[in-house]
Amino acid sequence: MKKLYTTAILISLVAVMSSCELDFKPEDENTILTDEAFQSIDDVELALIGTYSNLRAGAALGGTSHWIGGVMADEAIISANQANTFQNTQIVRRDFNFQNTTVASVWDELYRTINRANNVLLEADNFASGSQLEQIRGEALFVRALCHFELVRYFAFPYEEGQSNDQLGVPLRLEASRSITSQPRETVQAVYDQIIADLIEARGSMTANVPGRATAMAAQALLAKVYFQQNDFDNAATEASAVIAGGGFSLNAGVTDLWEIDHSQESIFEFNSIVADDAGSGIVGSFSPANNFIFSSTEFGEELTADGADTRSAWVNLNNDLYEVVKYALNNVNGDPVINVPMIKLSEILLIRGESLAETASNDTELNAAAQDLQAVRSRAFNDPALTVSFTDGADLINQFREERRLEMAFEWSNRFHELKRTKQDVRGLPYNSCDLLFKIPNTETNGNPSIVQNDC
Amino acid sequence: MKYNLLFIVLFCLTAVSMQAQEIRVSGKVSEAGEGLPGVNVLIKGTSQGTVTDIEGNYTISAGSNATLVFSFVGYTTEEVLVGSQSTINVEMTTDVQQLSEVIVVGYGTQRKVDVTGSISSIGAKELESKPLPSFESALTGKAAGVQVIQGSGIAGSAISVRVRGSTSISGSPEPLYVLDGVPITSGDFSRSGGKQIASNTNALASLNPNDIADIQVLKDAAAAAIYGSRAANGVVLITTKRGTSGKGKFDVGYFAGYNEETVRQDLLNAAEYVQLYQEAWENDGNVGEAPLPGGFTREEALANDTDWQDETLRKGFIHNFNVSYSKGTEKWSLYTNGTFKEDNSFLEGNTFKLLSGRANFDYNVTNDLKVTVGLNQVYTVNDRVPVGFAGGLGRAQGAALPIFPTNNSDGTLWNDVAFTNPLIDLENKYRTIEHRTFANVSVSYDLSQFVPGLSFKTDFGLDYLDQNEDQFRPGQGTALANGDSRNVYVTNYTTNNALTYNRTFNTDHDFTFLLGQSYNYSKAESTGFNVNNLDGKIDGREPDDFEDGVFVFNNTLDEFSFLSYFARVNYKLKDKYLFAATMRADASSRFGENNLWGYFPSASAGWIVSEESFLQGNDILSFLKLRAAWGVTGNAELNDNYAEFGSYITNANYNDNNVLINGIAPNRLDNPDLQWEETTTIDFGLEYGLLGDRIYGSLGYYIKNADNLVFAANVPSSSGFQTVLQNALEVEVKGFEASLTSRNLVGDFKWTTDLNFTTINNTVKDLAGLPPQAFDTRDGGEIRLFEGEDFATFFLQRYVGPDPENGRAIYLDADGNQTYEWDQVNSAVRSGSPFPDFFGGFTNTFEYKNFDLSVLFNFSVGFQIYNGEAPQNLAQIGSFNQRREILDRWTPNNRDGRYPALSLNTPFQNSDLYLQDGDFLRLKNMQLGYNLPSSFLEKYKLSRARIFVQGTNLLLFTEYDQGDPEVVRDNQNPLDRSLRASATFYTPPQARTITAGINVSF
Repeated sequence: MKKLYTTAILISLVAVMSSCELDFKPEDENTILTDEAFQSIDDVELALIGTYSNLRAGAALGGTSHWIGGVMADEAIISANQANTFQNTQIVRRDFNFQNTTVASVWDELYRTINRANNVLLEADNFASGSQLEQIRGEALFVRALCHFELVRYFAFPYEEGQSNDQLGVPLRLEASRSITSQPRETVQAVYDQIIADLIEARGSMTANVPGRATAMAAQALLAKVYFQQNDFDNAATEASAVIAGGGFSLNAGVTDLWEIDHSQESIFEFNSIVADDAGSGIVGSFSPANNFIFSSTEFGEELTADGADTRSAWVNLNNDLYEVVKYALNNVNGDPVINVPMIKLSEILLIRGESLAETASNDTELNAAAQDLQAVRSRAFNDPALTVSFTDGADLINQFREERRLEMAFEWSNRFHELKRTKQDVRGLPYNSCDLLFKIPNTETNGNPSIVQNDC
Repeated sequence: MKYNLLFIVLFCLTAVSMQAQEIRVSGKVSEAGEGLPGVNVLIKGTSQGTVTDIEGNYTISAGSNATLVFSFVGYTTEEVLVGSQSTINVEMTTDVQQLSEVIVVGYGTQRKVDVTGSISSIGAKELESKPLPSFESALTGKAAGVQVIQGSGIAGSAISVRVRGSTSISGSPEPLYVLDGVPITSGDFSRSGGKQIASNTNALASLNPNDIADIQVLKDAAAAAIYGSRAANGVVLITTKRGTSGKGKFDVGYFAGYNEETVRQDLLNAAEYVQLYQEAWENDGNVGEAPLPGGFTREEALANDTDWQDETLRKGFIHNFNVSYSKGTEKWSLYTNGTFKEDNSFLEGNTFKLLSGRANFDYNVTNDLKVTVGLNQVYTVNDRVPVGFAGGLGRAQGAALPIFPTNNSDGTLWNDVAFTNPLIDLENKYRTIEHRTFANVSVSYDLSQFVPGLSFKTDFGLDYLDQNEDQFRPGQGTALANGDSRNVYVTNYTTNNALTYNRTFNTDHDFTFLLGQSYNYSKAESTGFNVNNLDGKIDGREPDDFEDGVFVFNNTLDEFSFLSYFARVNYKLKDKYLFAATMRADASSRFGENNLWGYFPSASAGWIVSEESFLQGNDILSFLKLRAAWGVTGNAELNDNYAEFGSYITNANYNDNNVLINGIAPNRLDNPDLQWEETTTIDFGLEYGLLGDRIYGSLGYYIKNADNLVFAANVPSSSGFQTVLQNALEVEVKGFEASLTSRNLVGDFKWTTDLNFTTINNTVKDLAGLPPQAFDTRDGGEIRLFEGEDFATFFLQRYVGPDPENGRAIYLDADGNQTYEWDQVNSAVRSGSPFPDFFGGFTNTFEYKNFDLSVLFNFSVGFQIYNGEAPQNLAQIGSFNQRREILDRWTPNNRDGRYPALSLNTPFQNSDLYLQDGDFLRLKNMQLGYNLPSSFLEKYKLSRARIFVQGTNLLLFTEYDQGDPEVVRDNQNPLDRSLRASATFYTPPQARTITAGINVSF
């Protein structure tokens, strides 16, 4: 009988072993389940932080966005020994295909950020109300608008004022993805309309002012920039004026203070950084001469250094026939490569307002008023308070604004590329509305959304 | 009470037998008059026994009513009742079919002839005394249907094993490895896989080949379906050696030798490089003397003339010492082994060392209750060096130009902002240390006293892997030296519990039932940190030991579990009609909640035709068995233990007002339908013996349909997600496999030939609407999948040659028109496949007197190799050294050259210019041995002594001229591993190894 007991014990041992745990949850300290992600308003706040985290990704607005258009235009070049790679050849030659991972990352990272913002909008309704809800919504809408704006400028034909703008834009993603979904491309008009609607709501709903995060003024300044890209000068001037008048911003003393001082008086919106952000594909890493990647074009280097009295001439450094971009590396002397990424600054908003006013001016008084904005920016650059601007007529003033803008915005947000498209000038030998200037919709999208219409040139 | 009575009767019987008179029996065991050494002589019903000596003699004490059992692999087992005899001589007869041979199958053992599934086996002989990088490489060329490729000659590197072709894409295509009944941890646990230094580690390399008694590869569903959701890529059952009864026996072995690379690239020297660089410069429209890379003058460049391959390659040294001891009595048996192995490969700085100790102990507690214990502790040290795209030899064969110096005039290593010295790569100290514990305990309980034929077995196995990595990366250019330290702990345990019931009714009906349950749990944890501006190896220092520049990695945890129930019934009618059915149910943490349980049935039948009266005594067809099987198996290696769970990351950090905050962000979509990959196999087999089993072997044909293959498919990335792991694809494999053993000569001079070959026809059946380029692993890459085509197709633009007029490359567009335009997207066409149409191996073994010689060839036919580095070092002379073939480029005097005119601005352009047939035949292994004569053995009281010389990869017959054609690319990601299997990128070649050694037993 004893052996029967032994058997029974063995069998019950089996039974115990059978009741093993099966339903594991990821316990990776960096992962939580979707179902458990949102418990309170604190989690919505964390989701907003997560949105900023990707908004400043080096593969898009934190890095690539600041050089890729410049290379496609005549502002920047890729070093000889990196220009032959699969990606870079296409960028230099403006001959893209859907497999270009640099371009794919721009698309992927911007839409990833949009989804994060939409996720915040969705969950904010569940946990917040009143001004808190307004603030969170405003920040998320600002982020969403910023990303759609960047996308539509690279992946779609340019906005043509006075036209119907029914050319294909980009998919508008306005809802958080909780399952696999596809969206077609909306028209360029619809995309701009949505960007403007988002920014108008954002402008009106934010009250907080946390450095490195969206504010009502940042939304208003971006709105000015969007209107300006559309050559909608009335609205651009109106929004820019409101920022200049009501934002409490003023020009920095020096032209490099913007990235040497975090959240300087001139900064309307900038991304905060940590070391890991700026190295590699970030703005510092991209332009750092040591990384031997992006340099100024010779033509633009010469232009920037033509007048030694212009303090902006120190933004490049001629070395072995190559103009190194030292703009973002100036404070590297401390061995501290961390700089915040300047996105919108007062000098740009001044130039937007001035040029818009010049465009709409109907008499010399109005032109002279417009010229004040140019004078403010230029006299700071020449470190000469007595400097005055003179011009022959409206067209001359507008041209001076454009030239000033080219210098002032050197290597910032690929300004040159978007300006050539806005002003309908050839982009390094290609018409401003050439299909070759469009990024191809990447295979990360087309593989999963075969019906999306490609930019076929 | 009935049982107690039975017990008493049994006890009495035992007591009676114990009282019988013990007598001393001796004799000689022989075959055709020749003494047969190593024959097991066992007293039936006990584990007491001995082994014949070199001349076939034995002595044993046995009771007069005892029966002696004489057994030896390859011979019919003989039984003789002792009675009053004191001398028992036995003549053994060969039993080539090994009718009585018992092999290990899933959760049990079975007579080999009764098996209705498809199984390939290799024995200890194939594993002993060979310079194996890891035990699984012993299967190379030995098992029909099993393709084994060692990744390269890198010490301790990964080995690719494909059982009956490849079907998985994102999922792992490797088989399940089961050691003494316990699934063990396999794969690469190094940081970011091979991305760090372009070579993988192999968790299986810590298993000591000397400990292995045999390996069974379960190939079809009938054999493997008992392992359910983990069996679709085959199951490799590894059984370790156990003690044999008899007096204690020592086996000592040592071998040592050297190794070198099989293939070295033929690259330009400095003078040639400078000449061609100048030519390219002029072709680009420049005049005058070209400024050389690195700013060297002509004189400096020519004086430097560095052969970088010489600098990064060496003659390696390999040696291996092992000693084992085994002993046993009626009550217990013990096997112990200690092994030390050191493999200094031909790559400068690359060494793999292993120290292994194993003890296997069997103990019969009572007649019914048996306990077995296995304990194996292993310590390995793997000094790794960068290869391939990561530097070292890879850089020596490409970016390191012959015009660069190795050292500065002050003796320090030359370094430059824009160019890296391969010797600085080798300053990269990457050491991976592993402590590995394999432990298992099993308890078998014979319950026959309660229910005749019933037994119960429970076992518990633990596989613990503790891996430490310490990497130091020297500063290059302006970068600071840095390094990291990382620990991984993988705890993997399993319990199996099974009841077996075996009865024969009316002599004709033999039933075996198996019913069991199993639970497997694995947890991998990692911790680590990185240090910037490092002064040397981290060498055990902790983050606090550094002042700054320390970045602590996120701790990770990776778990999975399986809960399984399984059953099998075998029915044998009249010893010639065989039927078997199995069923397995698996639930796993990896499966989505809608598909938590998977069910895996199989059914099979066999007919031993030669047992029928009409074939009895047939001299020509001495054995014939037909079998057929159907079954379903799964592959649960989905490449991600958590793919079913929608999740958020919690480290989406942003510097919020000077406080770094970890935000949360969506990371993965919910995937409640995720399940195993499911393979349905139909298998037909024929086993034969001819001419009295002088020739025997098997034939097999199978159709394997693999459905629901997982793929990390792109979802529209505008959704904010890039990929979701989906059960989407379907691939079919049809194959034929054959093996044959022919004993060509018997007698004094013995000659045996073993041959096996396998055909594989992989077809993509369903791509779920995904376009071909969705399977391209990188930009402008060369691999696609097309429905209805081979599994993995090289997809390349066709290259014609240089335009005789101007030297420009002429390509064909998709329609076959000549064009200058290179357009990998629109002009590429299907150009080949990375997987062979057939492969196999043949071994010839010769024995004459004390000499033996075995010669193994393996071959692979019908596949292409894409030489992924060639677009650099057969084109981009501006940045890479060139292979000497480039001398056949277009020049005004060589207008029909193979390569276009040189330019310093040639982009990286894939084309079929760099695709070649990879067919090869290789002398894989040759071993010549000599058994020292008995006079010598007697003098030193040895039972056996053998000296041998051996070589691996001695000869290669191939038309492939870009390197070693035996390649596998598995060091980056699942797509590369699965689809770009033969696309190289500065992949190091195999090792040619010559060793000599000795084995002594006493």
